[in-house]
Amino acid sequence: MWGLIFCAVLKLALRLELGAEYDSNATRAEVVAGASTQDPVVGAAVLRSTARLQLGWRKGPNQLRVSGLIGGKVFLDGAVQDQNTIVGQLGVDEQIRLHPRFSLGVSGDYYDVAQQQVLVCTVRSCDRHRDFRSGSAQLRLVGHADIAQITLSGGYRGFHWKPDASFDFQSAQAQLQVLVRFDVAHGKSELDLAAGYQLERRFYAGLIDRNVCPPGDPIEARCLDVGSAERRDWFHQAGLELTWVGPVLLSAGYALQLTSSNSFGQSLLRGIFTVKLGARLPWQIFVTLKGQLLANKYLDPVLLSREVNSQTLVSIEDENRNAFIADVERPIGKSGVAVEARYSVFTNELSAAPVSFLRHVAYLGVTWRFSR
Amino acid sequence: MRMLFALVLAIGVAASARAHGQQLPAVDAARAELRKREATRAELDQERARLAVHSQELVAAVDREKREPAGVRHDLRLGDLLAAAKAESDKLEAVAVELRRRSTSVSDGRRALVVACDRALATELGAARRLELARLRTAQVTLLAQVGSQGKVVSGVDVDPLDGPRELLEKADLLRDSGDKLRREVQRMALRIDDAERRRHLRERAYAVDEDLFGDATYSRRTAQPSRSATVSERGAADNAPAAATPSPSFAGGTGGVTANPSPSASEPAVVLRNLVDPTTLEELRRADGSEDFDRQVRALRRAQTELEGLARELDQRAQTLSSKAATLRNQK
Repeated sequence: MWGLIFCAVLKLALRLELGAEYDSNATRAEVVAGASTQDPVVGAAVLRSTARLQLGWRKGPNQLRVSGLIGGKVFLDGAVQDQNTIVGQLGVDEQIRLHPRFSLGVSGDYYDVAQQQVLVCTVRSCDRHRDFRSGSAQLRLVGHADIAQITLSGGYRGFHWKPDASFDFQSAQAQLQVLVRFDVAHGKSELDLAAGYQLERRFYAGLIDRNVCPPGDPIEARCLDVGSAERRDWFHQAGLELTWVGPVLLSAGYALQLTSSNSFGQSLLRGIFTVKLGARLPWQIFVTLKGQLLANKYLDPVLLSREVNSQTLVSIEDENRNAFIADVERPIGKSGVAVEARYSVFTNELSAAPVSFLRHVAYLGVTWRFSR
Repeated sequence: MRMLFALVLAIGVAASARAHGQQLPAVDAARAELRKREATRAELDQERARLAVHSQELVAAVDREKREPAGVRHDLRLGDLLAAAKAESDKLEAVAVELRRRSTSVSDGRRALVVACDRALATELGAARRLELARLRTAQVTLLAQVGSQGKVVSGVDVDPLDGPRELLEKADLLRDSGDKLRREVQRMALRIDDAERRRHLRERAYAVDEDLFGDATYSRRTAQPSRSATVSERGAADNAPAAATPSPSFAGGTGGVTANPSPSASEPAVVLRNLVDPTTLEELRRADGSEDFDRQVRALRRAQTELEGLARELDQRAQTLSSKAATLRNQK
């Protein structure tokens, strides 16, 4: 009896991926104009695999979802073994319907990226770690209307930057998100409007940087000094996205991020413009293109004479780049198997910054999905 | 400013599109008229039944009186009874004539409803509306093929005993034509299923290019945006609310009168096609129509598709039975 009930309410989704990749810049090396020593750009082949599992139960007004993920990638080039990565994620989400129009949710999420430790460094880049872990606990109130959904959420988020603990932070965050979906032409196409605002107060473990040079002087390495106060940031993000799904998918979004920090050099205004185009071509080939452009404005004077030795993490969003992604997928019948190919390029070549970055990634893999 | 204008325009188009899909006044009007005609016929049918009972009582009384010993008083009583029986019989005959007229009127109303359904089905409508109309149309056609001369709904594929081979073949053609229309709806539903799956896949791929498990380049993970998939599921959960809590709009779309009547009419699909129509299919399709849960949409559409296929098969079988009867009658002649 209980077994039958268990089976009736259980929703299960499993997805396995296995593929090979070529990464033209495995260590994410930046080339600094005029620097005496450069981090070498190393291209390498990679094998990568992920497994995801989602489980869902629904009983009366309660809906519980548990999701787990594990993935890894292994570089075939011995020079970049420090880039071998394992990723794990676990999420739990419980939602209770309080009223036909309102529900209350509580969720927890943990995400961990670990890079391989290389004991003997034969190349400079062997210790280039960018691994981190983060966790969050959130409470949310969701209002449902016929075509709209408003979500108000808030909670805690913790972030641990493994290479340098001074970038660890604890934060309190609040978010408001509105999603409206319109049926156009009697359901033949859909128009989604998503808008959101997020506010986060970050309490860093590290101390602030100070500029000890007189105002107006060019910023050089000697100008930076460590202060006695702990770093505190306000992080704001507002975004708007329009998605039309008809014969093709078209999406355009703009997000504005503002980091306001008491640490010198960490305040930043960033605009992110994203466009996507998706279409189903003949022979069930699904093509998705994505372009992402970033415009950064540093609110403090920028350290121009940055040598490789003085490179430090500017912020946890440092990896954000202009990007173009072309994804092609071909499902194989109704078997749940699909062949996927993806080309991505990440760069900051469009900016006039003295630090340039370019990375091409080509991936070919197989995906298997199962759900019930 | 231009973007805002475009957005407002898009919202306006979408809202008008929704509104258009909600209103089917011609079908509502035809359905209301049919119900009215059915009601007046049912009223007269009750009167006919009452008169028939009374007439039977009078005939029995005449028989009893005939068995009584003869005499002047007996003859007078018998004469009175015979006169009353004749008057009752005349009334019954008049009612029967009127009943046939009203039955014809009901059949005309039913045909008008079929035409209204056809016109509505020729327009762009949501899947739930189309299923509702297909059911309604099928029920009317089934009744038109079944209705006897007295206007009664008969069970199975029994037909009016007065029907000759020509009438039977006409009814068979009507059923076959309706079966063909249902199959076209099945094809249309197959296209909708394909459309829903394509859109789901496009959304999944668009989400997949945002996702980067190894933390390579996107801002979404680091800024802890609420996941889209969770949002979709939440909407799905909203759609799973008890039906009473989220009442779906009535077929009449607020025109009043038609769906306010709590007692189902004989022409209701669920009554006519009792074994083939599952009321929960339509409810599921209605909820899925407004849901973001694509799995649910596809499931509901497949269920509706299966139902329509079953209805088409049933109509074909009935048509085959009528054709066989017509052939038998021809051979007997």
